[in-house]
Amino acid sequence: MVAGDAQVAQMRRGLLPYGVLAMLRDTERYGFELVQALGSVDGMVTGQGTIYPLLSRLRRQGLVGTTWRESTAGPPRRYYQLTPAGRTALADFTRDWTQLRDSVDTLLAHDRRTRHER
Amino acid sequence: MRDDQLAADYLRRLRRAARTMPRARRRELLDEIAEHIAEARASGAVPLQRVLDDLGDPKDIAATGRVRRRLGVREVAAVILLPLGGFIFLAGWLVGLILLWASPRWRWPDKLLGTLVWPFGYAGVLYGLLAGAFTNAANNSGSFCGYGCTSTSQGGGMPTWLEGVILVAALVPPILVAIWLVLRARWVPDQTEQPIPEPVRT
Repeated sequence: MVAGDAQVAQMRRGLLPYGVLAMLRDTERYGFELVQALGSVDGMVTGQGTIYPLLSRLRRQGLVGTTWRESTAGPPRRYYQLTPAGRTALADFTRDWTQLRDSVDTLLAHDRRTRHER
Repeated sequence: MRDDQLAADYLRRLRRAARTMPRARRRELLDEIAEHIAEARASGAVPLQRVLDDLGDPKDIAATGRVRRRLGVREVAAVILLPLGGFIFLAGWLVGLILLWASPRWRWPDKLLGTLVWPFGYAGVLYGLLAGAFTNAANNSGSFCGYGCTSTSQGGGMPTWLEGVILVAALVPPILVAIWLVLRARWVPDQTEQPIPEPVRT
């Protein structure tokens, strides 16, 4: 089947914002650090630079906040952290995603089983 | 030195790709990418070329969260009517103005720009130039212009270069603004990338 790279890319784009929120769940991070962390997760980010416009949007939507902090080396850094609204959005998504993932897995498993039976 | 050039070149490409973004957002994006590059260089873990490759094509970065769309009929009409609509009993310009302000494809700074450069478009320019010419002609025929003063001498007492400047300032901005409005209106927010609803403000 030609699921299409475009479709997968589309899905990835839709999920990436939650990936960003998840990366900030336990700790605040500065941009470079956040991008490195996301980039280390296989297949999540294609161009690291695209995360910055995304962060900007999440900030405008009030899901993440920023704070400037002095750095031990070099200029001050802009740290990102989750806002209460961001935490709620992430919790909602985590619940929905788990449910969706299980449903899709069930369907895929069913598909595999019926094909085996044929 | 070579790395400095690489980084500068990358940022220059990004600045160009992002020129149709709202100014504050563009500024922020350029700052962040510059910070990213500085951090990566300071850590020295990977060669700069690799860092830039990982960041991706500047065009892709600038296109994140927005997509290119053809202009709607109303936007096309607005862009045509603003410079030229003034010749349709001036009302054409007003219609263009209403379309400009009603369209969600432009933000208010662009709307203001489209309104002010120039009011009534080329019709306004024409009336302005005519009025100026009449004033000059009137001055020339005035009492302080004596015997030796002929109407052809200096084109209304104004140096030729200044006339040229005024003509360029009158004729060029409406075209530039129209082009700018088209460039801006081509980009719209990508709805498929807006899965997270706006937080409820209470």
